[in-house]
Amino acid sequence: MRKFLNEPADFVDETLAGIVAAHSGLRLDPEDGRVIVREPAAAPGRVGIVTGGGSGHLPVFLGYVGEGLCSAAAVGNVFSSPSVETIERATRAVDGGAGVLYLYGNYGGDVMNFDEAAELLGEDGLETATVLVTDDVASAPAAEAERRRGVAGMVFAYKLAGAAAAAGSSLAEVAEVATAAASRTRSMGVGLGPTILPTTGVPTFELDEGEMEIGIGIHGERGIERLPLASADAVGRDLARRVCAEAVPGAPLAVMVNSLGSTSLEELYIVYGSIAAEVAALGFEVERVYIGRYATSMEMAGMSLTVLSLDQRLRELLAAPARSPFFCEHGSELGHG
Amino acid sequence: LATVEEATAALTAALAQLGGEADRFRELDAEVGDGDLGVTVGAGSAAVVAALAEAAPQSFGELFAATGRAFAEANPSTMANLVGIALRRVSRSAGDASELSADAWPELLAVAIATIEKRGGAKLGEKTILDALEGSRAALAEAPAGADPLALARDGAVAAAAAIRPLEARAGRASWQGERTRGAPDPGAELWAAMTRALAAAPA
Repeated sequence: MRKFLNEPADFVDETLAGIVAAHSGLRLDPEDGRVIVREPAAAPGRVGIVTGGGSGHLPVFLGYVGEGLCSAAAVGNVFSSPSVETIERATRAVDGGAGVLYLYGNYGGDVMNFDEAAELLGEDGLETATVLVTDDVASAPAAEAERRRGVAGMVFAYKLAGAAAAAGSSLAEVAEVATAAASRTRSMGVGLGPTILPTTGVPTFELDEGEMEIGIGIHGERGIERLPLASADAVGRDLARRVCAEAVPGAPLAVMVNSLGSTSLEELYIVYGSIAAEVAALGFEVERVYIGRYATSMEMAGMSLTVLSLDQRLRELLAAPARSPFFCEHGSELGHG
Repeated sequence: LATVEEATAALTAALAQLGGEADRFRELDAEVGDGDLGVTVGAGSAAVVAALAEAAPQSFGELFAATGRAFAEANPSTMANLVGIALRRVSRSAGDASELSADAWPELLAVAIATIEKRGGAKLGEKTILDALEGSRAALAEAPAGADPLALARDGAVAAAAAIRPLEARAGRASWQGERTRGAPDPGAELWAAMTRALAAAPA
């Protein structure tokens, strides 16, 4: 295993220590070193947004803690759920009296722990609402969309719900925006190579030279099919067709081309050229484009495509200012971002 | 286990013992599931032993919270997660108490059972760890005066784990195997039986 490590067991805590050393807008909660909050964490009367999940996906999750985004992230070990206590602590840290939205990807352990935290805090009178992101179309058929996992589409949900919270919306309103965002976001990934788990040195999956995994999950979960590696053009067009099949007809799109870790920006742009051509051929207009590393699996090779079907309200929320160490929106004019 | 110090010492000794049985749980689980119960038991037990040495809990609430969190964070299995959730809920019930009377234990087991049923989506009789937990709870709830509670918890769990072997698993990963699980021990129920065995054998 060729990785920069000290103690493998300290992988997560040392990552967090480096992040708060680098970025003054983020800090660790003094009572729980697995809670990252923005500074200031809570604002009176403002809805808090707590996300979280396993480590190993930077910038997801804690990279989207910031102004106009999430208020806190509950951080688990690599690919493991954060504890109930960590989620409880994150919630209390960001509660400004207007309630807290739990917004995260649909994974069994995370759902169990967030639900338990919500119930425990509810008994103490702290109101929460939950919206799950289920954008990975490869993880279950459309008829069972509620079973799908959450992947890079979480970023759009954070951006939109975060803008609503920053505008002073109520918990019900922020949850409704998050639900709209989640229901209009679709993603699919293609894997070219695994990540190696830092604690065990074990790769997350095996793929022969010259193969690709269509529909790979963000932990290396098996996708829909394993095929011979195709050209960037064929991969881009195939992903665009699969993902746009569930986009809202006629809606302008926000498009995210995401590296799953080690895949280069050059490759993402090569693939984007074909995605743009295919999306146009399918009759969709692309309004905003995001290309880079937004949701990864450490050094996994591969990329994912996410499309968000916009409407006027979502378009305005997407363009509203937001800032974290990993994500910045200046409040720019609408147009290619 | 009346005081938190006694309970911490007994739990530490029992988990050191249980961690040594990790390979047996990997094999049991490989028969009907995916085998990850071995890592859950091995890594989880070691993590709890380390956490308790560092934390020195002052109340039963702290003891259960630290135990559940360390066990759950040690690995990503569903079993580890459910144990973590159940113990978080149990820790809230136990609160600041630094001593527990004998009649508190069946109530705390009932809390754990209800929590695992709710979050794990399994019910009693579906051949899971719940059946063994219920075996201990029932034995403790009906305890004759003067009986050793740890021995009762152990005997109840061991009997329940044995009683469900002929059944078909109806919940959890083993249920995917259907008929094939008839006659096979349930790894989760065996885990609680082994835990109570280790607790009963721990030096007082």
